[in-house]
Amino acid sequence: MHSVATDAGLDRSFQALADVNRRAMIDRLARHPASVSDLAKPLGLRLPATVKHLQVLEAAGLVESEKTGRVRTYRVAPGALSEVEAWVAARKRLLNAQFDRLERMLADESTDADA
Amino acid sequence: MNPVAHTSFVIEREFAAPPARVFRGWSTLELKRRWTDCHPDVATRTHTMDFRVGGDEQVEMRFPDGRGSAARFHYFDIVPDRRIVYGYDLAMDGRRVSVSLVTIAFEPFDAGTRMRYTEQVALLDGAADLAERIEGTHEGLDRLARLLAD
Repeated sequence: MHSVATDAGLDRSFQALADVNRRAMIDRLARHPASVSDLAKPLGLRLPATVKHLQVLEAAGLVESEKTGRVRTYRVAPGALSEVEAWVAARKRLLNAQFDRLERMLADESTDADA
Repeated sequence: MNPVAHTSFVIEREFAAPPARVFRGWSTLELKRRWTDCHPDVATRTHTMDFRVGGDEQVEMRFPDGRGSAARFHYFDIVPDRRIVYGYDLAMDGRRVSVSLVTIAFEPFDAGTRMRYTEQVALLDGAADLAERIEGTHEGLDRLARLLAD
């Protein structure tokens, strides 16, 4: 598959996402923004380790953060998912849902024919 | 203006029905409507089809929130029970999002059919807006799938 994403950007993204804890953080942040301690707790990580992971994700452009008072809140960066990947994933899900229906329709037809 | 992104993907499925019957699911409007219309939240849907080489097909949908999508297909090659090649473009709210070439091949497999769907896509500017609407979650992808639906 070809996309317009640059190789350097992809390398950093893959590296950032190669770690299971960092993937869990992205998954969590995709649902809603969270603080360092919000992210650390469910993963059983210490705060410094969590900060380190988040720095890797931020350097890769996958998350961004904002400090309000004493709390830094992280969120998934807009466009973190390659739009091409997102488009293809959505398209495949839709087509497979339709092909499931086609499969059921063909099964119903053969039942009708047998009857 | 963003550069046009190109990609392609393949979906392979097997059906427990002979190629002629699977093909009929694609070539007969009444049957095709039955399996392509899977949007519980669509307000209106119109689907017309002229299934022949040089013929066109259109699917227009409007959602309760006022958004709309339109897909226009053009058939380039048809080999009964074996192959369909068409081009289509997809517009969201009047803005063209993608232009694709699709090849569907049907071949006998055991007592049924193996269907291979290959789509080659040029993603246009509008695709960036679509991607911004999703947040990397399955929920987001489901929503996008509904928006992209034809």
